[in-house]
Order: sequence, then structure tokens, then C-alpha cells
Amino acid sequence: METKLIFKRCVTLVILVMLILGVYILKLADFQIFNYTTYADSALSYTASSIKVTAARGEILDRYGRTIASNRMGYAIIFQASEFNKLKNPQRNEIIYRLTKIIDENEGRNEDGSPKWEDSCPLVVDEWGHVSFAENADSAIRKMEVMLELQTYATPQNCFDEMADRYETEGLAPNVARVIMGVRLEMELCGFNSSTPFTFAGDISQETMQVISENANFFRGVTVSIVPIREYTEGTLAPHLIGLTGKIYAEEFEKLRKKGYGYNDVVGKFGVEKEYEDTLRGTNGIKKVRHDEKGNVIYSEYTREPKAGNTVVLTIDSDLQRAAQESIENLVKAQQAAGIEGSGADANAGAVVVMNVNTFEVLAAATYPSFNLSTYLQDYSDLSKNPDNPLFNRALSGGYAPGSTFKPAMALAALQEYENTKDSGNPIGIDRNEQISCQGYMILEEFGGQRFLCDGVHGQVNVTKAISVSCNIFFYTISQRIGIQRMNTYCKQLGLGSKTGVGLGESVGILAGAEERASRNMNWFTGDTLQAAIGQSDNRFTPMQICTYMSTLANGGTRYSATLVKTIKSYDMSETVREDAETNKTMLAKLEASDTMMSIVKEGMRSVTEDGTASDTFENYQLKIGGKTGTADTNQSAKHEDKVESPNAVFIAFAPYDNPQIAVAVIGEKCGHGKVMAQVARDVFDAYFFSAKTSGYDVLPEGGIVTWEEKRGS
Amino acid sequence: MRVGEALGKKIAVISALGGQGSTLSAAYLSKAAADLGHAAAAVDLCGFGGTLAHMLGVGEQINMHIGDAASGACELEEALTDCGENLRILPASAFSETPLPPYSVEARRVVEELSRQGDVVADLPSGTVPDCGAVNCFDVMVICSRADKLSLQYAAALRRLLGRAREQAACGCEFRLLLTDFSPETMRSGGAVYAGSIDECIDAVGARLLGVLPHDLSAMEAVLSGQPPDTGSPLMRYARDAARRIFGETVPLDEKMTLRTILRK
Repeated sequence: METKLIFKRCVTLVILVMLILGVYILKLADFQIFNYTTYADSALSYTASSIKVTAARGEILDRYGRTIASNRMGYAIIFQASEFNKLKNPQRNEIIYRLTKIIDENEGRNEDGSPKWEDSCPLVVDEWGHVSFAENADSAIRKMEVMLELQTYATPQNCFDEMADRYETEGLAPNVARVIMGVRLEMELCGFNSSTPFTFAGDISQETMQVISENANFFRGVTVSIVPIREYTEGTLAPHLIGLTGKIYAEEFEKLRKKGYGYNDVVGKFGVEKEYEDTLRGTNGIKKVRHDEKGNVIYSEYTREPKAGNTVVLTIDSDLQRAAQESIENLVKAQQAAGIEGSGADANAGAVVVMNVNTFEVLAAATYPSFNLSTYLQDYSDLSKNPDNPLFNRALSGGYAPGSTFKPAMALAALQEYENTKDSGNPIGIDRNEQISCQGYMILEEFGGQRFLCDGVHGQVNVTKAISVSCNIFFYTISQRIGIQRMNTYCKQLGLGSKTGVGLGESVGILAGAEERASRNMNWFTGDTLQAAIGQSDNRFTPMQICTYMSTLANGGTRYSATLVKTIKSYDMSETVREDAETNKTMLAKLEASDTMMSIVKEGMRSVTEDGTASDTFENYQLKIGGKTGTADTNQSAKHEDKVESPNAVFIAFAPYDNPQIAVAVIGEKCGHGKVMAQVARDVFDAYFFSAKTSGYDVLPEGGIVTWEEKRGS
Repeated sequence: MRVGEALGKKIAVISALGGQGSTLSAAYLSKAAADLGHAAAAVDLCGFGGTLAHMLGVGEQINMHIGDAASGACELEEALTDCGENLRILPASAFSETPLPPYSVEARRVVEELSRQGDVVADLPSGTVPDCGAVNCFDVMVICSRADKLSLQYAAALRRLLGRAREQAACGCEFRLLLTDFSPETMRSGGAVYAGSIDECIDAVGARLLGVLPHDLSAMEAVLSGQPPDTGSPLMRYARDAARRIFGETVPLDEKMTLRTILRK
């Protein structure tokens, strides 16, 4: 009986076990066979994450499509939070520390001793483990205190202890802990999370990339990605205009965050890179990434493709820009080398602007001294301390007295005023044939017999001769006749003392006059009018404005908005985002002067280059040129500590004389007489009119490569 | 895509101008890959027409094409036609049908699908610029160009446009230059029309050299008449060298073609 019972129980048990096993087998079959796809996908999607993909920044090209700023592909070490944050703090810390060691060994350090990974933590740990704040890091200290929720009176040690607790680095050597804290803090500041990766180090070498890739199993949550890296084809080409990108400053971040920037993003800092930031920037994409159980990326797909920024095609001609830069540098150095005290021995800087007189496209805008965009960060400390201020964009922002280059404007004003009033019975201004006697000086009785001087004794001069020999007496006289108000009516139409429209933080300049003086609570005197007429007094114009004035005169009196951007194209050049500047130009003013009056002035300017103050440079030149020299006293031009400071030298020109195409304005700080700058203009004309334009393979052929849709349509 | 599935090499052949020999190069490179023992598929992404199939000697055997496979009208396997050992072709749509846009998502999916079975050599339409999605799809883009200056100028422009697409895609697609219809003698006596050396070609285009395919009139006549590539021809020998370089082997340039020695003065 008992045996039977045991048997029954055994059978029941076996049936029960079989049933349980059957359920497991059925479930297993469901997992592995019937619904494999569903479960496999579900398992994979469990480790899927969406990450931001930085869009390539638009390129900057010259007017012929030659690259000035572009992107190259580089490697960056990027942390992905979806994997990294699964790890415990000690593991995270070990990964970070090992990475820093690899970077230090393979990449070395920056020149200032800072590491080549992201670390803005303002704590310094000395060899005895003492913690202090870094110098000149107030902003970073405040940011750290806010992040760590500490009071402003927290000591360096308080900050260190808080981070040691937060990141679990207790027990580590202080210097090791500091390295880890720096990276961990940076991660937090950058908003590192599952959708925002953290770029630990950018542009690493292939060697570093290989070491990290080969040890991918250890470096969980760390990927080596291919990222676009900004590159300047020729860092010394127009650096003031092109500008630079850089990391977002703390004080910029709040404003930029509203536009969708992340703390880790780069942004244009100055020049075209800054001015056209919205155009160049592009739209970041989102990539869905799946990892296996070891954290390896096994699949990635865009859920939103990154849209690269647009390409900005500048009006600059690289060849001409290079020629202008070289020429102004050579000239300033030559003046220094000649060492003539009071006439260029102390020359230190200069600027050149070249413009198409019909479109007002800026073909070149050179500043000397200059810098190299490719080494800007390394050089910055020296550059910022240089007394000649190489970082200053003289071509667009420097304010210079134009000296005698102002005289053509004066001549035009006086001629046109005479034309307007000659039938009134009381004409003002000057007739084209009237001659004025130059004895080398004139005395103004109302100024207590003050003498106003000329550079020579020119005898009887008419207007063209006065421009040719730059006779001050002639222009003193006509300024007395027409007065500052009428003078300035024409100057304003010529764009002097107003922005040219080129942007990039250009200065507005100063057009001397009673109005401007009144704005400073100062009086205007008759003697000031005489000084203003020869381009002195308060007159201060940028080289860009002076070139605009020259272009307006050369093209027959129409002033357009100056532009540095020829067109804007989509990144792949298939679409035009902004029309060509030539067809899209904006007229700013029309000079109220007749063609005849302008011809007389230009005739005087031609005479300058043929038998006037610039004839030495342009004698037997292949082209007919219109030009004007200017020698402008600076405020310090008088004796200064027993040394005579040289005047600024200015030269303006247009060519060809009969059918003007380009205008040039050249300024040399403390370079002496304006005629020396004529050589720079000549170099520019040589480069523009007589040099081979482009090297063959660089030029995008006409038509040819199109999109598939366009090809099919055609 | 399943974990652990091996992917074949995805190679695109493209040129900036018609007549540079890109379809011929695609035919020979795919045949060369097959000769080297790789399971290869030649894909005609030129939109329409059966030139690649014709050049691989199977122009008369085509029933289904890439458009049918992409639209689901047939299975991918059904649209593939055998072209001898290790090689199959997925032809372009017939002229009478609506072509599958070569840079469409559907076309990229077909290439991805084929790469799970082996290497893919895709012939892209000449004179067109692939978008970032297309560049992202391929491992290598072979830019075919003759060695004359105009062709190189176009190839350089295409290279720049491809570079932009690659930066947009943030991918590691490699660009290689394949000089086609190449003759040292022509280059030597070419005056102002031809580049002076292979180095000049490389510098002009700005891409690493994959190889040179010689001027081989008889091989060209054969494929144009619908015969399969002649495996014994000089053209195939050089195509094989180029294919071996794509697969990572180091194969020096043939002495006859090493034009560092024939710099024109």
C-alpha cells in the first residue's frame, strides 16, 4: 500500500517536473525561434541611444572658388553617456585617468603646459598636495562654485573636497584626483547626458586613435569619431577678415544657448567666421546608435541627418590679397631700413584696400603687421602684447587723417558749386580755368596773422595743377569760398565719415565739421575749415572708406554698399542661398556732380601719376593711372622726446584711367611722404592686370558637375 | 543588420565627365574582385540603361533590375544575374521605365543589402555629385579620370564636392584616383593638353592614386560589343592590381606606368 503511494507521488512529481520543463522549452522556443526577431530587436533597442552629430561648418572660399577656410576630417575622443554612465564612479575615473595618460604620452602638452584634453577646472595642486585657485580664472571659479552649489567664499580646498566626494576620488593621490576632477567637472559643465556627447579631446593623432580603438573593451562609453576640423588653407591670408572659431565663452553661453548651441560647440569669434556665424553654422543631426553588451557600436543610423552650414564665397581674390599683403609689408620694412628720421624710420604699420569700382566688391583688404590663423592660439599672448597691435584690423577699423588724398573731393565740391552758382551773379567755388597764386604760404589776418603753409612755391595754379602738385594754398583758398557745410555735402555723398556697409565691425570714422565738434561740446573755427580742406583737422577715415570714396569718384559718382561676400551657396554648392553681389548691389548715394566736373578732377589725378607727386613710381607704366598722394601729420608728428615722428603716408588710385576697374587706398603709419605708398598701388595693379589669374586645377569648371535631378532634367 | 554579420567592401566608381571610362572601370574592377576570389556584385546605379550589364557580357539576359528589387516587385536575388564565377550584376532600369534615383535611400538600402553577401562595385552616373547620404554609404569612391588637363580639372572639382559631402556626412569614405585610358607615350608627347606626370594628376585631383588602367583598344572593343571582360587582357591585369589595392594589399605601380621617370620637360 505504502509502495503504491510512493509510486503515485513519484509519478506526480515527474509529471510536474515535465510540465515545468515543457513550459521552459516552449518559452525558449518562443525566444529563439517563433519570435526571434521581436526579442532580438527589443534586446538591441534596450541599448540604443540617440546622439548629437555636429554638422560640418560651411566653407569660406575666395571669389574664384579657392578654399580659404575648410574642414578636414580628424579624430576626436567622445564620451557617450548611454554607456559611460552605466559604470560606477571608480571605473569611470580609471577610464578617464588612463585616457589622460595616453593623450599626454602621444600628443604632448600645449605650449603653455595645459593638457590637450578638455579641462577648465581652475584648481591647481602643487607637489605637496596643496590646492589653490588658478590665476586670472575668476569666471571659471564662479562657474565651478555654481556647479558644485558652493558659496562664493568657498576655499580651493572646499571645492576640491566637494569634488572628491562627488566623483568618489577619495583615496587617490591629489594630483591624480585633480586630473580626474577636471574632466568630470568639464563633463557636467557641458551638460553631458545621453543625448549630448562630451568631446574629451579633438584632433588626436592616428596613433592615439589606434591605441584607444584597440582597447575599446576597457574604454567603455568612449568612442573615437570622425569629426570635421576647421582648417585654414593659408593662415596668413587675410586673417583679420576671415577670423577664427573657438569654444564658447561662459559669458556668451547664455545668449547662444537660446539659439540651440551646446557648451561644447564652436562659434565664430571674429571676422567672417563671426559675422556669418548663422550662415556657416549648419544644423546638427541626430544619430541612433546601438551597442552590444560590451558597449561596441554595432549599428548607427541617422534619425536626422546633419545639415552642413552654407559656403560663403568672398569677393576677395586670394592672389591679389597676397600681393597686397606682401607689398605693404615690404614697404614698411623698406622705410624702416632706410632709417630717415621724420620720414619713415619709425614706420610700423599699414593697410591696403582694393575694390572693384563698379560693384564695390572688396578684392583685397590687407593689414600689416598681421598674424597667422593656424597658430593664433599659440601666438596670442605675444600678439596681444605687441605694441604695434597686429590683431587690429587697420583696413576696416583704423582711423586715419587722409591728408592731401582729400583734395580731389575738395576740388570737385568747389568746381560743382561754381557750376551751380555761376549764373547767380554771385558765384562761389572756382572756375576750372581760374588760377590762384601760391607763394608758399598765406596769412589769415583774422587769425592774428597766422601763416598757413604750402609744401612748395607753386606760382599760378589752376585746379588740375593744384591736384597734381598738391598745392595747399589753392585748397585753403577754395575752402574759404565754399565753407565747411558745402564741402561736407560732397564728402558725405562720397561716403567719408559713414560706414561703407562692409560690416565686420568697421569704424564709422569722423568727418570734420561744426556738427561733429558740437557733439563734443567744442567750437569750430575758420582755421579748422582750412585744415579740413587739406585732409587734416578732425578728419579720420578708415582705408575702406577712403577706397569707397576713390571708387565713387572713379565710376562716375555712384556709391554702392561695399561688400566682402560675393555669394552664399549651399555646402555642396548645388543651391544659391544669396545672389551674386554684382546683381544684388545696393546703391547708397549718387554724387550730385556733373560728369564734366568729375572729369576735370580725374584729369588732375592722372597728372599726379604722370608729372605730379607720384610720377616717379608710374613713369612709363603700361597703364594710365589716376592717383593722389597724401602726407598726413599725426597728433604726435611734432618733436617727441627728441625724435621727430614721421607723418602717415597715404595714396589713392584707380585704373585704368580711361575705363576704371579697380581702386586702391594705401595707408602707411609713420611711413613719411605719401608718394612712397604709390609703389604698393603699383604692385597691386601689376598683380591685378598683369599676373596669371589662377592656377589651373583650382578653378571650378563652368557647368559640368550637377545633381542627379538636374542631369536627368537636362 | 544583425550583430556579427560581416560586411563586404562597398566601392563606388564615379567620374566628373562622361567618357572617362567609369562604367568600363566598374565592369573591370568587379570582374577583378571576383577573380581574386571575392563574392562580388556589380550594381548599375546610372539610373537607366543596361551599359554595365552589356559590358559584363550579360546584356541579353536581363529580366529584372534594381528598380524592381527596390520597389519590392521582386526579391533582390531574383534581380541579380550571374556573370560568371563569384560575380553577379544588378542592372539599372530599362530606358522605358522610371529610373531609380542613384542617390536615393532605396538605392542605398539595396547596396547595404548586397554588401551582406559580399563586395559591391557600384557604377554611379558621371557628372553628378552624390549627396552626403550616398557618400556615407560607400567605403571607397573611385574617381575615374583621363590624364588630360581638362578631365583632371573636372575630377578635381568633383573631388572637392565629394569632400564637402563627406564632411557633411562625417564619415570615413576614402577617395581614390583611377587614371583611365592611360598611355605614357601620350602623356610624354601630349604638349599642353596632358598633365606632365602621374604626380601632377595626383596633386591636381587631391586623391591617393588607386591605379592606372592602360589604353587597351582591343579590350574596349570587346566589351562594347557585348563580350565579357577578357581576363587575359592588359586592362584586366591593371584592374586586378587596382582591386588588390582596394582590398588592402600593397601593389607597386608597374614600371611602365611609373611616370615619375617621364616628367615632361
